[in-house]
Amino acid sequence: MGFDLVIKVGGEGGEGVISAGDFLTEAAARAGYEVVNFKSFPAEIKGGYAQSIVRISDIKRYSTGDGFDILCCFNREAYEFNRKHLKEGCVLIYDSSDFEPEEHEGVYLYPVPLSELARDVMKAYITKNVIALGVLCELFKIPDQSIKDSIRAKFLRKGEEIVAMNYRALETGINYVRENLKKTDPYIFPPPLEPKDVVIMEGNQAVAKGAVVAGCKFYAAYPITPATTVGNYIVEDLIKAGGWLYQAEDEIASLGMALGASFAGVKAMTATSGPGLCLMTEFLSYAGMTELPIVVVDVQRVGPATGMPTKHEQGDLYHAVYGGHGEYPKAVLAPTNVEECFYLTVEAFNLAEKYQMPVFLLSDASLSLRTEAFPTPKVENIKVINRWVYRREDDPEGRFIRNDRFLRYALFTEDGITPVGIPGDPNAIHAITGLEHQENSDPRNRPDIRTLQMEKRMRKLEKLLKEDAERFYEFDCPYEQADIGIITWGLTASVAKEAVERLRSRGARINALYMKLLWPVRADLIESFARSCGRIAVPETNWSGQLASILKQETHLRPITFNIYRGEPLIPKEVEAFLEFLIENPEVREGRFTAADIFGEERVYGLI
Amino acid sequence: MGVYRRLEAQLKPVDYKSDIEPTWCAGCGDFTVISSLTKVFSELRIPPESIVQVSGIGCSSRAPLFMRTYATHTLHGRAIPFAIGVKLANPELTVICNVGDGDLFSIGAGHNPHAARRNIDITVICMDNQVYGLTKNQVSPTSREGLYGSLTPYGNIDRPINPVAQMLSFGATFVAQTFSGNPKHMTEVFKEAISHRGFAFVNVLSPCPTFNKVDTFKYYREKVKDVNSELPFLEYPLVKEKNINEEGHDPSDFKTALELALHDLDHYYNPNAPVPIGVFYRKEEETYEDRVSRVKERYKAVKEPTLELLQSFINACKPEAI
Ligand SMILES: Cc1ncc(C[n+]2csc(CCOP(=O)(O)OP(=O)(O)O)c2C)c(N)n1
Ligand code: SF4
Repeated sequence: MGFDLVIKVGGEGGEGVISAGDFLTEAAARAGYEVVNFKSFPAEIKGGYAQSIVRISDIKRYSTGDGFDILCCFNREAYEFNRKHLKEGCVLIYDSSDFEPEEHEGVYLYPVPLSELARDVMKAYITKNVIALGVLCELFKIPDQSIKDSIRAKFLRKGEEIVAMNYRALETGINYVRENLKKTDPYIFPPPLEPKDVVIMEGNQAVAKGAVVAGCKFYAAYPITPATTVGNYIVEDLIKAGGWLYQAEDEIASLGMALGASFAGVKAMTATSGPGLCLMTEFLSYAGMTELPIVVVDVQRVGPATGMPTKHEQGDLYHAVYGGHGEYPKAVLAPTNVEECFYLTVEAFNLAEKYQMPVFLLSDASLSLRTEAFPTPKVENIKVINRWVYRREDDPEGRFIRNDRFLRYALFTEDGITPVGIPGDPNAIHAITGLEHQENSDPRNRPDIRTLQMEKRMRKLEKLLKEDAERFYEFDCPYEQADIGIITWGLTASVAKEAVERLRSRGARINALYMKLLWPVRADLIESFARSCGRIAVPETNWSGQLASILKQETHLRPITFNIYRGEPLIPKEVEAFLEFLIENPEVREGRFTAADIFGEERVYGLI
Repeated sequence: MGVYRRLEAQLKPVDYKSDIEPTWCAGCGDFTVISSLTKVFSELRIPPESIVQVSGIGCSSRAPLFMRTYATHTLHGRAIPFAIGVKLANPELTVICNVGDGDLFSIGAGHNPHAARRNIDITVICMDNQVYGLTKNQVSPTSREGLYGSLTPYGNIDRPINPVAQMLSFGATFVAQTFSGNPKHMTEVFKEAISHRGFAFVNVLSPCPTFNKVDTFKYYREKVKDVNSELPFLEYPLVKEKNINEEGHDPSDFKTALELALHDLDHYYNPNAPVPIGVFYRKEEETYEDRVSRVKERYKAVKEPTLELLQSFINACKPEAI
C-alpha cells in the first residue's frame, strides 16, 4: 500500500475552513503528490457547517475516499457532525477553548485552544484557521514553507502586513504544538517527491480555462451558485484573449446574447445551474432550430426549485436531454473529474462548432469546487475545431446560392451540415428564424419542407454517433464475462472507479463503463458492453435514476439502479456495498435500490 | 452607428428588399416601416452585409425577413439580448431591433432598461399598434383603456404604459416617436436614430387596421404634431408653460423631453390633446462599446491569442505559480 492520507477540516462557514483545505492541497501538490480536495459549505455567507477534505496519495485517486485519518474541528458543530466516523486510529484535533470531546477509543486526541490563541495571542480571530494550519504542519511535518508560499500568494493583494500577520499565526500554531503537545499518532507527511509538471485547478476553473483554450470569445453571465465561479475564473483570461464577459439581466438574456454572438461568428458560452437552465430552455430549442453553435454549462445543484444551492446532485440530466419543446439535435457531455472539466469543455466547443447545435456540459456542485492536480495541458496538442464558414471561392457552381440568396439551410449535404454565413460577408446574406423554414430561411409550414428540414437537422446526430461518440465512453472490461457491469457518469464515475478496484482485488468480476457523452446514445456499444456482464448496475445521485431511464429507453438494458439523493456525492464504500449486495443476492436482476435498502437507518446521516 | 465601410455607389432601396414576400394584411402600418428603413439604408449607403436586423415575435417582428440584410427572427421578447450579443461580438455591424409593443414592453420588458442604461449602440424600432396582432387581437401594454380584445370582452381595464417616457427614464440616449402614416417624417427619424452612436429608441405609431379600430391612421393623422418643428404643438397649454422656443423643442434638453413625453398619452383622455412625434431626446455619450475598448486596453487584450498566451493562462495554475 502506498501513501494515502485524508485530512478533514470542519468548522463554521466563513472561518477559513475552505482556504485551510486549499493551502493543504497546494502544499501536497508542491511536494509532488496526487491530491483531491472536496469542499462543502452552506449557501449562507456566514455560519452553518463547512468542511474541506484533502486526500493526499502517491497514486492518482479519483475520490476523496470513505472517511478521514485526521480530523481538525474548529468548533463543536464540526465535531458533532463527524464524531460517528471517528474510528480507531484516527486523529482528532479540536478547539479546546470551545468544547471537550467524549471518549473515543483508539483515537489520538490533540486539544488546541484555537479560538483563545486567535483572540488572546494573535488578537485577530480571523487567524484561527492559519493557527490550525500551523498545528497541522508541526504535528505531521508538513513543510511550512509551502504553506507560507500559499499564504503569500493569497494575501499579497491585501498588503505585506496581512501576509506577516498570517505568518505569525502559522508560527503561533507551530509553537503551541512544540511547547504543549507530545506526538502520539503515527501520521507523517511524506518526504517530497520529484516535482511533477502539474496544474492545480478547481472544477469551474478548469471549465473556464478549457473554454478560453477552445477559442471562446463571449461569455454571458448571470450569477447563480454553483456556476458563478466559472465567470469569476474566466473573465480576465477572456478579456486578455480578446473576448468579453457580459453580465446579463437574467438567464434568458444570457443565452440570447451568447447566441447573438454566435450568429455574429464568435464562439460563445454561458454557464448556469438548474433554475437558470429552466429560463434558458426557450432559447435552447431556438439554437437547435436555427443551428447556432453554443456551449451551455450546467453546474447541477440540488433541485427542484432553488433546492440546495451548494449541494451535489445529478438531477438535471433529463432537463439537458429533454429540455425545450419540440425536438432538436443536441449533445450532452459530463466530466467525471476536474481534468475532464477542462478537456470536455474544449470538446463541447468542438462538437458545437462541428455540428452547429447546442452542447451541454453537465458538471455539478461538488465537481465545481473540487480541486485536483493533473498533468499540465499542452495547448499546442489540443485540437480546436471551427465551424464551416461559407466562402464564395469554394463554391464555384454557386450551389449554396439561389436567386442571389444564400441557402443557410440547404438540404443537399449528406450529413445535414451546411456552411454558416457571417455578417459582414456580402456573399452570404441570410436570415435565421425559429419558425420552420425552407432552404433560403423563408418561413414555411409545408409538410414536405418540414419533413426534409427535420431530417436534415437530425442527420447531424447520426454523424456524431458515428464519428465522435466512442471516444467519450471509457470501457474498463478486464473480464470476458463479468458478474456485474457498472455504468456511471459524472462524479459518481470517479467514486465507482475506486469501489470497483477494491472489489476486483477481492476477486469480484466487475466490468465498468464510464459514460461522458450522455446524449445521443450509442446503443450498439452499450448493448455489447452489457452482453459481457451478467447484470447492469447504475448508481446515481438522484431520485429516479436518470441515466438508467435513458438507457432503458435507448437500449434493451434493464439496469438495477442505486439512488442516493441526500445532497452529497457517493463515497466508494457505498458503491462497494451496493455491488456486494448484488453479488450476495444473485436473484436480483432488476429494480431500484436506495440507501435505505442497503444501509437502513444509517442513510439519513450520510457517510461523510 | 458602426459600419464596415460606406458604399461607394448608392444601392437603391429595392436592393435592400428580400425575395421573401411580406405576409402582412393590406393596409398594415408596418409596410411603410420597411420602405422607410430600406430608403434610409440606401441614403446612408450602408452595405447590406454589415446590417444585422434582429426581431422578436409578432406581425411586426417579421419585418427583417422581408429585407435583404442579415436578419434574425428570434423569440417573443428576446430581440434585445440577441442584438446585444451580435453587437458585442462585432461592434462594426449596424444592429437594429424591429419589434412590436407587446414584444418589447410586455414579455421583453426586462431587457430594454439594461440595453438603454448601458448605452449599447443598437437601434430599437418598436412598431406600436397598441394591440397584439399576430395572436389575433388581444390588448397590449400600450392599449388604451376600454379597448376590446379577445380576452377582454369587457374592455381593457388596464392603464397603458408610456413608451417614450419609459425609455427616457431608462437612460436611452436617443428617444423619438414617429407615425407610419407619415413616411417622410419616419424616414428622417430613422435616419437620425440609425446614425446615432448609442442606444436609440423609436416608437412608431403603426396602426393595425385589422384589429385596432380605434387607433387608426385617420385618428393619428389628425392628432400628430412634431415637437421639433411644428408650432401648433406649442399651443397645447401644458407644453407652452415649459417655454419651448419658437423653433420647437431642443432635443438636448432632457427635462423638457421628459415633460413632453409625459403628455404623450393625454390624447387617450382628452380628445383635443395632440400626439407628440419627433425627436424627444438626443445625447452623444460614451457607448458601452467605448467602455469595453478602454477595459480591453487596460488588460492589453489581443484580438487573436497566441498559443503562448493561452499556455500562460494554464501555467498560472501550476503549484509553483500559485
Ligand atoms: C413565449 C411566447 N408566448 C406567446 C407567444 C404568442 N405570441 C406571438 S406574437 C404575440 C404578441 C405580438 O404582439 P406585438 O408584440 O404587439 O406584435 P404585433 O403582432 O402586434 O406586431 C404573442 C403573444 C409566443 N410566440 N411566444
Ligand atoms: S394583424 Fe394587424 S399588425 Fe398584423 S399584419 Fe394585419 S394589420 Fe398588420
